[in-house]
Amino acid sequence: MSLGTLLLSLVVAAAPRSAADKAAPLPRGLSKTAQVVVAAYRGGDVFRAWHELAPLVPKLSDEQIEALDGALAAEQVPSVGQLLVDARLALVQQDLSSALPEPQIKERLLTLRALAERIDGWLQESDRHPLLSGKEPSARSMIDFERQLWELHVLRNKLLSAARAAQYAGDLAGGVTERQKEQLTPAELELLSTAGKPASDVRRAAERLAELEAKTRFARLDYGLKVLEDPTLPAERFMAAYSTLHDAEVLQSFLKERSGAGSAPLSDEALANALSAKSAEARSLAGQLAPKAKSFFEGLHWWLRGRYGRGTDLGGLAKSEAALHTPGGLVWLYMPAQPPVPEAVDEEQTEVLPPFDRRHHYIWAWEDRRIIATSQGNQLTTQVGQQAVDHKLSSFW
Amino acid sequence: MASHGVEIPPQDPRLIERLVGFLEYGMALKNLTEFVNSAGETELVIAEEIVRSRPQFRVDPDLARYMRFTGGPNDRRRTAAGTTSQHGLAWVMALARVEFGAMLAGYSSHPSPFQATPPTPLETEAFRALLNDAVAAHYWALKFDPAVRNYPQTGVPDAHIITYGRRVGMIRRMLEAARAFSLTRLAPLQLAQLSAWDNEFRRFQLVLLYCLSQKIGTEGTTSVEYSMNLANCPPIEHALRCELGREIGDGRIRGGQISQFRVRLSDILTSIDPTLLAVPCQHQTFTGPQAGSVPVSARRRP
Repeated sequence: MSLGTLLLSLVVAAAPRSAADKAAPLPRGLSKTAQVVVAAYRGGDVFRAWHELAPLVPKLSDEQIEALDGALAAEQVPSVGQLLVDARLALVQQDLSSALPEPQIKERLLTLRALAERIDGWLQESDRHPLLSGKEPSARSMIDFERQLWELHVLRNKLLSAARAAQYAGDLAGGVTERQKEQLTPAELELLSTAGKPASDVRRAAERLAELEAKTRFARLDYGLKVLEDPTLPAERFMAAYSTLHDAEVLQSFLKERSGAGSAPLSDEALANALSAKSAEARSLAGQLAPKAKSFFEGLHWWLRGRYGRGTDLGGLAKSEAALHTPGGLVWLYMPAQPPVPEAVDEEQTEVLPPFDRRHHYIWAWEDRRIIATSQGNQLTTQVGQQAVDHKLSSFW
Repeated sequence: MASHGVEIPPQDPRLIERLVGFLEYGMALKNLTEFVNSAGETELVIAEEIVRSRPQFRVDPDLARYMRFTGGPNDRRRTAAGTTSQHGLAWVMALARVEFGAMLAGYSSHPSPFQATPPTPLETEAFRALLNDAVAAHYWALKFDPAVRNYPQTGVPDAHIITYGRRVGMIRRMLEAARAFSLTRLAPLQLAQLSAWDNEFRRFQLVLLYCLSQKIGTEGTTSVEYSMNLANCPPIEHALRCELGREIGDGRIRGGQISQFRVRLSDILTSIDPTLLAVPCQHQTFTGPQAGSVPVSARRRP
């Protein structure tokens, strides 16, 4: 889609077409629900969709939910179950699961199924990764180390999400009363009884990963110290001026944490002392280069987050309200697991895939206020300025 | 004395912090500016080499070409010619600066959003190019936007007043900065083009303001006082301040509260641009000073 066409699609038309217009006839109340949910989803606001659907679901029959799913599908919007789960998972991943009220039994079971599937996917991905299965050759340059540590970082974030999801699944399953259980099928009871089990698998995988990451950082620290002594490798040296001190800092925290936990082979005192010595050596070798390299690499790190990060709202253009209330919410973003690779544009090219874009092409349209007209105390409400971004954006270039 | 008014309700002033990129590009600029200001020549060369070795830092400096076609494939091919992507620290920083400035322009009352973090000498050229591209991209996007193109004939739907008011306000701040940074670099013809575009944006902005002014009411007597509170939408407030500053003096605006005009705002705007009289905006009609509300559903959309 060209950007011109895209921009045209951004603004909600003055009278948006009803979801129900295209789908099988829905009862009047449900038709209105479908309209609100479609608008919320297209505005990138999964929580508004959740607020519309969650109180309704327990009151609906399976046939009614199916009809609603049909109306949503006609507008290319995910099903009721998926929307409910997506909203909860988005919060679970941000460690904000308490922001939504406890789900009713129907929503609870839907969520538990989705959580089990996603946790299993994350665990399998971790198990099969070449770095963890020992199939990856050793790093031979700063670039190699950087790529390996990035991949471990991505896996770590996925296992963190898996841990939160597993914890949440356990909480959800534990919240079902005996009376509610009497109404459940054997398969649903099985789902409840196994909900908390992945937590220990996730913990083991995370520990294994943390150990591997620490070893990789130690290896990079040693490599970086050699590089810092070699003036013939200016780019590598510049990278090492940042990475050595950064690795030493991360490893010191790691050892402290492990020492607090009272376990792990890396937490012995000799290792901590060796690390302190290496850190001092790196500081001495890097000298004035260290703060400059720090500014440069941290600047690039933030820039990549600005360019490729996606929030939970407004098709990824905005962060959730948590950004205004918690430091974690302010920083939290979805980042692509693999660094994006925009194609080079040359003079002959007419189309670029994936397309380049800018945030300022869209952000102006974020609005949900009304213009208020008043007349000596009477308030005359005019029509709405809607939340007008109506497109799921996939990337920013 | 009767009084009619219009206002845009407040919103959380921290909303800008929820925009992805505001914190991120802000931190990127802080760090990279520190680096550029402290680095020696060799370090800058190394930094450039590192940025250029990573494709994720590639920047397309001419997005406007995607908007600058009239629908035919030949037009599109022609406009794409002559463009190459750019790759380097200067482009990285300039892109962050333009995005950050645009967020300030749209969601804050910063007096000089694009000068809030002025470019370092390293990136001035790239910043200028990306600013010009930003202006051109919005210009062509609006030019081919059928909804917007017909505003002078159809009026502006209520739902668009705040959003497009923000958009055109942001674009004019971009254009203002593009001119300020390019003044000595652009040929007279290019400067003339920027001025021509600015006139079009201003005209568009006046149509938006005129339709907004119609929300106050159309009572045909000067014994009615009119007020507007636009402080909660800085781009629209800024636009009106610029327009009214020319007509009635700065003293009439206090922090976004434009209070108690004896002369209707729409009259002021039509005195600036008489062609606005032909714009069929939705009216807020009062039958008298104590008139009741007009239900939304009873009014016709243009």
